[in-house]
Amino acid sequence: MSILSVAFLLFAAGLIIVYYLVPKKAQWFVLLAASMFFYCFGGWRSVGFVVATALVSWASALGIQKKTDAQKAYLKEHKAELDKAQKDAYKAQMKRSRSRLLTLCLFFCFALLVFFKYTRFLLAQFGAEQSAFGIRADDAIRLLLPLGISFYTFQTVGYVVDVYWGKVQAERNPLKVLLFTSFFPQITQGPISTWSELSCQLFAEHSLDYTNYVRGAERLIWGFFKKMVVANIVAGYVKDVFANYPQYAGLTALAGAFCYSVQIYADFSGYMDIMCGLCQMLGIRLTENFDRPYFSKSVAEYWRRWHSSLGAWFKTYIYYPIAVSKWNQRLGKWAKQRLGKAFGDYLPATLALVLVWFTTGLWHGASWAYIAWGGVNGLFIIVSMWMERPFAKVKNLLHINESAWLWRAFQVLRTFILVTFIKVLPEVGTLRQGLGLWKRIFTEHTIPTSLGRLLPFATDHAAFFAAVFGVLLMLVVSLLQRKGSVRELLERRVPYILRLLLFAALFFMIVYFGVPASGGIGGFLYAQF
Amino acid sequence: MHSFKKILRTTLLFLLIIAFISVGFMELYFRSERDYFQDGSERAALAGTLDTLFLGASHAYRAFDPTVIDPILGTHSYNLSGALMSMRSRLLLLQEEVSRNPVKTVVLEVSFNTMSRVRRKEGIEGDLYTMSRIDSFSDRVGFFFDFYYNEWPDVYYKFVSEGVNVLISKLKGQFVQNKGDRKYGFVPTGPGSYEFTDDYQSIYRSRWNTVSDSIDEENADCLDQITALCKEKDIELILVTTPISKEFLCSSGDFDIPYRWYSQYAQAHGLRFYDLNLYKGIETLFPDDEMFFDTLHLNTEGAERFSQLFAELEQRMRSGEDISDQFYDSYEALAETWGLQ
Repeated sequence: MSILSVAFLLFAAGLIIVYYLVPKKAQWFVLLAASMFFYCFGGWRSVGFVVATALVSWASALGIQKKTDAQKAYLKEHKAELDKAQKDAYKAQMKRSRSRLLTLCLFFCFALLVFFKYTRFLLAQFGAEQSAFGIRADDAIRLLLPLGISFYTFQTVGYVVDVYWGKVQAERNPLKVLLFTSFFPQITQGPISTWSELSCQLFAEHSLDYTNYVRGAERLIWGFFKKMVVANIVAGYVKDVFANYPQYAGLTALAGAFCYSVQIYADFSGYMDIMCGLCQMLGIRLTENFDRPYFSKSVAEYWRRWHSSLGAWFKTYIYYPIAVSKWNQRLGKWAKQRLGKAFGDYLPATLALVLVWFTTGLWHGASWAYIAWGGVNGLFIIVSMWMERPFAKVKNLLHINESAWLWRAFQVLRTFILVTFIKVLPEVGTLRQGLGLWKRIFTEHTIPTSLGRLLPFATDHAAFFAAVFGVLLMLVVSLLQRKGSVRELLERRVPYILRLLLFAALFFMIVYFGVPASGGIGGFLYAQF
Repeated sequence: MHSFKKILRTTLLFLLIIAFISVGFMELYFRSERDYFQDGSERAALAGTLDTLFLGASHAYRAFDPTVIDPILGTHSYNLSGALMSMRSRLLLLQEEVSRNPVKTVVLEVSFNTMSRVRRKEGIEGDLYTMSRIDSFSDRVGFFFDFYYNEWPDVYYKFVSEGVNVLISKLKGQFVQNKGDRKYGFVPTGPGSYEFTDDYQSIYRSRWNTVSDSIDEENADCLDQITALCKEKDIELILVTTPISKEFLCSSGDFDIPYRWYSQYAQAHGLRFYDLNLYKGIETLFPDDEMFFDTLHLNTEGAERFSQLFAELEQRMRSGEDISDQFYDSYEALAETWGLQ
C-alpha cells in the first residue's frame, strides 16, 4: 500500500477509529491485524517471510530464556552442593547451549536477508552462473525482496540478542513478537526499535488524547508536505542531473548533488513524520530517527543524528561487541606496547568501525558503490578519530574558539558539504558514475550566466519556488526545533483557528504541488483538440 | 469523552475549512469558464429558446453544426455533445436543458462503441468535461458524488488545481478564456495531420478492429431513461450514427453488430435511426483525406457537409418521403459494394 495514496489515509482513519473503539486490552491486536493487512499489499509471499522470521525469533528467544531461567534455578537449588569449578562448567555448558540457539536464529534471519538481497551481487562477484541451490544470477533479479526485510531482520535479531544478553525477558506470546516484527509504520523505512523501546508502547493501553491526536495529525500533514512538495519535486531535478551530468556545468552538477541531500532528507524524514504522526494519534511514540542531522558538526555526529536507530543498532550489536571483545582488547594492549599509546587507544575501535561501515554500506545496498560509500563514511570517521589530538593542538595554536558561532557554522557547513559528496556516490548509478559526478564537479569550471543555466532542470517555475519555499520552511522549523517542539510552540503562540488555517494551507500546497510531483493525473488530455 | 468532543470539533472544523476553500477554488474554475468545452453561461443565456438538441461524444460535437442545420430546418438547436461523453452524462445534460427549453427534437449520436463503453474502465476524463459544463452548483455536487468513490481524489485534485491555476492567472492579469470557434456547442476542427491510406483491401483483410457486442448495463439503463424522458416530454428522439472514415470502416467486419442493436432498439421504441455510414454515396461525399480530421472525426468541411446532408434528409423525412432506399441494409452490403474481400 502506497503511503501517498487515499487508500492509506482511509486505512489510517479506519485504524484510529477501530483502535479506540475496541477494549484497550485488544488494542495491540488491532495493530497486529492492521500490520498484516498493510503487509498483504506487499504480496502474500512477503507475509510468509515476516511470519517465519517472527516465529523463529520468538521460539529462539523463548528457548534462550528457558535455558537462562533453568540455569538460575539449578544454581539456586544446588548452591550448597556445587563448588566454583562445577558452577563455571555448568554455566559454560548452558552458555554454549544458548549460543547454539542464538546462532541458529541469526543464521535463519540473515540467510533470508542474504538470499533475497545479496544473491545476485554475490553470484556476480564470483562470476558464478549458477549457485549450489540452482539459482542463476538472472533468477536473483526476479527474487522480489520481501517488504522491509532489511528492517525487520535487524529489529528481530536485536530482540533475540537482547534476550541472550539478559537485557530483556523473552515474550511468551508469539503474536506479540509478530507485531513487534511487523508493526506497519516501521516496516518499510524503520526506525529499527529495540524490544524495550517498542514493546512498552505497543502493548500498553492507550486512551484517546486530544493533544496526542492533534499533534500527531499536524506531524502527519507536515510529513506529507516534506515528502510530496519538497522531496518529490526535487527528485525530478536530481534524476535529471544524475542522468545527464556529463552534459552539465560543474556548478549544475554540484547543485544537483545538494538537491539530492535535500531530497533524501525531506523524503526519509517526511516518511518518519507521517508514521510518527500516525503513531502519536494512536498514543504510540516511535523511536525518533532524525535529530536535525544537517546541523551536525562532524560526520560522526551526523551519523548519530541521521537514521539514528540504524546507527544505534550497529553500535549496540556490532561495534561494542567487537570493540570490547577479548581478542580486540588484547590487540589494543599489544599495539600500545609496540606502537604507542595512540595505537593502543584507537586500533580496537578502528577495527570495529571498519566492520561497522562495511556492513552499513552493504546493508544499504548490494553493490560496490554502497560498499565504497560505507568505506568513505568510515574513513572520515576513523581519520577524524585518529586526528582528534593533533587537531586539538592546531586549534589551540590558532586560538580557535570552538564555541564561537562562526566556527560552529563553518563546521556545520563543512559537514553538510562532506556528507553531500558522500551521499551521491552510490546514488548516481554505478560507482564509476558516482566518481564521474565528483570529477565533473571539480573539473568543469563553466560559470552559468543565469539562474536558468545554473538550474536547467527547474523548468516549472511555480513548482521550483514551491520546493524552495518548502526547503526554507524546513530550515526555519529545524532552527526552531533547537529550542523544543515546534508544534508546542505553535500551540502556545498561534491562535487555534490560525493554526487550522496554517495546516489547511499546507494541505493545499500538497494538493497543488505535491500531487503532480508524485505522479498524479496531469492536464485534460482532450483539451488540446 | 472531553477529549473526544474536542477531537471531533477540531477534525470537523479542519475538514470544513478544507471543504470551504476547495469549493471556492472549484467554483472559481467552473464560473470562469476558461476552457473551450465550458458553455454553462452560453446555454443559460439561450434558455427558453432551444427546440433541438444534439447529444453525443466527440464524433457528434465535431459533426452537428447548428449554424448549418437551423436555416434548413428552421430550428433553434444546440450541440450538447462532449468528448468521451458517457450515456449518463448525456442524460444529465439533457435533463438540465429539457427543464428550461421547449425541446421538440433530440438527436442522439450512437456510434459503434457507444453502448459497449464501460465508464469505469474508461476513466474520469469524459465526466470531468461534463462536470465542467454543468450550470448549477447543486447539480455539480450531485454529479461529483456520482463518480465512483475511488475516483473522487482525482476529480477533487483536478478541479482544485484548475481553480488555483485560474486564481494565479487572474492575479497575474494573464487570465484568458479559451472559447475557440465554438458555435452553439459545435467545435470546428482543422484539417488534421493524419495520413490516410487508400489500401483498403489489405486493411479489410487484416480487420484488426474487433467491435464489442457487449452492452454495458449502465449505458442501456441511461438510454432507456433518455427514451423515457423524451416520451414523457413529447420530444422526438432520433438516433444517428455519424460518418467515420473509410479506412476505419474497413478495419472491422463487426460494425453490423451495433447497427443491428440500434435498429432493433429504435424499432422497439418507435424511434428513427440513421446510420450515415450506410448512406449510399458516402464514399464520394466524405473522402477520408478531405473530410476527416482523423479516422473517427470529421473536420470542419466534413461537418458542414454532414450537417447539410443530415438536415436535408431530415427535411425529406418530415415531408413524409421514404428515404430508406438511400441507405444500405448492412455494413456487409457496404463492404460488398466497395469490393472488399
